[in-house]
Amino acid sequence: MPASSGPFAIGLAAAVLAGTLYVGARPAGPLPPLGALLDPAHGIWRSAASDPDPAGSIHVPGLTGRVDVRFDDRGVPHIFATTEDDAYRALGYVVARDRLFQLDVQTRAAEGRLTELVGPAALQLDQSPRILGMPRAAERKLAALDPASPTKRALDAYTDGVNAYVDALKPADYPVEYKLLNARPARWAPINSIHLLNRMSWVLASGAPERALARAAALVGSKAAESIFPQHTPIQEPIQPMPGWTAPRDQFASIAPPGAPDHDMVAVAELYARFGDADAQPVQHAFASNNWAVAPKRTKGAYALLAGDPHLDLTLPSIWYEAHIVVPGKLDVYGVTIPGAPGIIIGFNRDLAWTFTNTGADVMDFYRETVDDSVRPTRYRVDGVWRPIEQRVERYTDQHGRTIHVDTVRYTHRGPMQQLQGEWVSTRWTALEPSDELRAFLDASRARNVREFEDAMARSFFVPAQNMLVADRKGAIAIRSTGHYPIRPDNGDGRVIRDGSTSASDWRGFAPVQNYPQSFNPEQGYLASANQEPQAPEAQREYLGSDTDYDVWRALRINELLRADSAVTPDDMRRWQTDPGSARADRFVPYFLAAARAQEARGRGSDTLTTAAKLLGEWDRRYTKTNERAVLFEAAMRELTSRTWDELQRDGRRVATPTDAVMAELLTQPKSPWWDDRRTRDVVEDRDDILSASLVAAYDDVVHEYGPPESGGWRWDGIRFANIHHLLRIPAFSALKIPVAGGRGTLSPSSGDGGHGPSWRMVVELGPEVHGWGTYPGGQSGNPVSPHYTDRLDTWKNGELDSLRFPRTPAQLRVTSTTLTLEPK
Amino acid sequence: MAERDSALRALGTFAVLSVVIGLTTAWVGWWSVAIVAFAYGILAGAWSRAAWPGAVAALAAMFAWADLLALTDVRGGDVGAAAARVGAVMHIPAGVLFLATLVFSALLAGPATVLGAGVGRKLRRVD
Repeated sequence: MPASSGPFAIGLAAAVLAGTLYVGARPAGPLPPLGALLDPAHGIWRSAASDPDPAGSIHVPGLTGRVDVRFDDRGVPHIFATTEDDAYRALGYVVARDRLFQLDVQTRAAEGRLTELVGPAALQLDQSPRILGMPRAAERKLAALDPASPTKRALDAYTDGVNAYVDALKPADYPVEYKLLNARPARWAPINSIHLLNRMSWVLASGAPERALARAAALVGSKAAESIFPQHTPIQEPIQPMPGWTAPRDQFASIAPPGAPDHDMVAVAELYARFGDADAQPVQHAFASNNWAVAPKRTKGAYALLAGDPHLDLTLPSIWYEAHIVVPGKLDVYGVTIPGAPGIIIGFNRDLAWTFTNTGADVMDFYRETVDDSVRPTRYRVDGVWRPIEQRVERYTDQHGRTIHVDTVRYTHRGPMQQLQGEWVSTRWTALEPSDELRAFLDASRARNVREFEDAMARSFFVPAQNMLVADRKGAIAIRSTGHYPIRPDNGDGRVIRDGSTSASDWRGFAPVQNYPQSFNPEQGYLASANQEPQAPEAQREYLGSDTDYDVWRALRINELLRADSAVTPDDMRRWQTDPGSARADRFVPYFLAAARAQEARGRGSDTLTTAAKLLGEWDRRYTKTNERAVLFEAAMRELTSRTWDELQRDGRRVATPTDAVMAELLTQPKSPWWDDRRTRDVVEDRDDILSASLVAAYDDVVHEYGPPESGGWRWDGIRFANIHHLLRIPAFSALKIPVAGGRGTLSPSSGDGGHGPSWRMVVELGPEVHGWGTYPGGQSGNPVSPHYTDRLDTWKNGELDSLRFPRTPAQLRVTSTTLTLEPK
Repeated sequence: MAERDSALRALGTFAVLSVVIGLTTAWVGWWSVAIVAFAYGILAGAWSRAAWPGAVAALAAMFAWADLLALTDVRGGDVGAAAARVGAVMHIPAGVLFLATLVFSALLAGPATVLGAGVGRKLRRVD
């Protein structure tokens, strides 16, 4: 600027300064205020500082004694407290320190309050949990807790810890996401933990097989629909071992041909349209977890071994947070917690280890209600008597507190109502009923043997039903599919929509524990669950769910591996977690090849078919990263599914898809009318026609997309990826396009958009000292710039595990990166 | 000699200004840059015959903010990673984000100094 500044220069300087101050202080469109953002000491650059910890002691309200927190080199906090309440206070503090934004945004998602953070764009996301009655259920669960109960104390203590961190936080130290959103963290409340546990129920226990059945019946008739969506999966490898079974069993029945639409079911199918098209995929991806345990008589070290890898949506930061909690004489437990939950969810203590897979139980039912007003009902009728409908106003506000939408959610005694196609339908769902799952985890963490663990879970854990696998140092192994299974009237089938005008439609209660699928120290010396049907049909005393909820292929594979090895080591357990073998490919590839040969013999072959069959025949049926044939098989399976189930389309889109187990059953019926391709009116295709056509079409598709087979474009690691998205799906904060082994039906399946997978992998040896190994895709820190944000990613993608440090005292922890001392205030 | 003294004074002014801007940014926040620069401008206009005080202030602000970023790195942080990640969120290269940060400080300091200098000159005439 010239030394002698005239009016023009002064005016220009004033304008530039005013403009700079304006954009510095106020949001500019989608951008937050630039001044606060770019400030090198307080803005986004502050996130670049190494994980900030205040020097000296940290004073936490409510603490009764000093808590020593040692972070090891993997960023895992080892919490040494003198009381359990203090331990949970400390846990709340360190989780807030590392995952504050995650705590906030996941609670908001569970409660339906994302619009308060990101504005109207999140309205539909917020409406879902509220319309399902989840916030109301959380309030009731909290209100039902005894103030002196361990659960309430743990919730309150955890809240103290989180808020101690939040209250001391300076704006400069807000997580970077808040700075980008121009927002601030909210204080924590005890109910938030319940919201998060409810959300897990939503993810894992909101399946409703009646939807697929109704949609199919509306197109092909009820008899055909019940054939292709059977209650029991036709390939049986149940969790609960069956006496005399040494191999899986095909329990195939004749599949009824497609018939005329069942017009009664058309209306029912329309009712479910509001619930989305959850049946586009044969197996809901939420059901893709594994666990298995091996008794000492079948392990090389003569100690029980346990492995678990729950599969969930992969996010950064991870849904899991590792922690170790010690209260001398009372608690010494290591494992993963869900940020927001005061307790270890999956892990081990000095005596036993445990892990879960989802049971996929059918715990959600629908009732057609008779109401007094079709538009704004205030009463509903049961057994001829009018009852009042409870109404709850759900208000949605934006970041500035302005109301953007209002819903009125109505409730019968069964649950929330929705108006669907002019009818009012209520939902009864175990996730909305009183329960205290957190108490189960608190008690289980102190269990000393398998029986105590199972009793703790059976007392308090109701939803989502889980196949709970446990092994102890005495060598016992056990599994029990624990949760509330509704006892329904009539034949007990949960796949029908019931008449709400009679109380005879209501649940009669819940199945007793002795009827749960379970096994204790089986003769075979191992147990495994991979979301398959928990019991063989002949052993079931309750209706648990249906074929659409189960996946059989991973169960077949892990049982095959376990049967073949009677000297299992921890490293075997680790390797199997990423085993690339596929029972699905083993089942279907021979059929494709046989069909190609048959077509040739019938004179219906082609050069393309010959080439495709040759290529497929070369495959070893393992989904390794370097394999170049899985892509052809997957394309062929997609074509096969599309061509076979063409009767299940409406408006050009398939509305229900039977499982591959049902497809395998149909393969044994080569002349079934299901094989006929409706597009070819003059030709009636059979099984081999469709298999061959699928293979040819697959070959053409794959060449078109990836080039000729010799081009190298068919390599699996160039096609199949894991995609781990940041919670806000910000690409720069995500880890995308990670090549992975595995595919549909392998023990580490990878399908769809790659956003779902093994969220935690753990192997535990229950020897004289319990030893654990584990990892998850991400890191302990939620700060995208922290060295602990994605430091475990390489370990995870390579199928490796870290040795988990399990010290009894602080002094035993040899590798400490940071120490926090929490003191009473 | 006079030129050398003048150069040393200018350098000294630059250094002091840079330190003050850095400290006030760290203690108070980004907007303090404008206040410090305005005050410097008054002093420059009233007592100094320095040429281009606005430019001096702008450069000093850029230098101060660059130092703060360097300090974060030296203390074990990873400014480069932060720039890459946040820059990607904003759809700009990391280098552009750095530059934008420094230029922002200059846009606060330079014009504020010019305005201050105008006030300072008026004070000098009054005197």
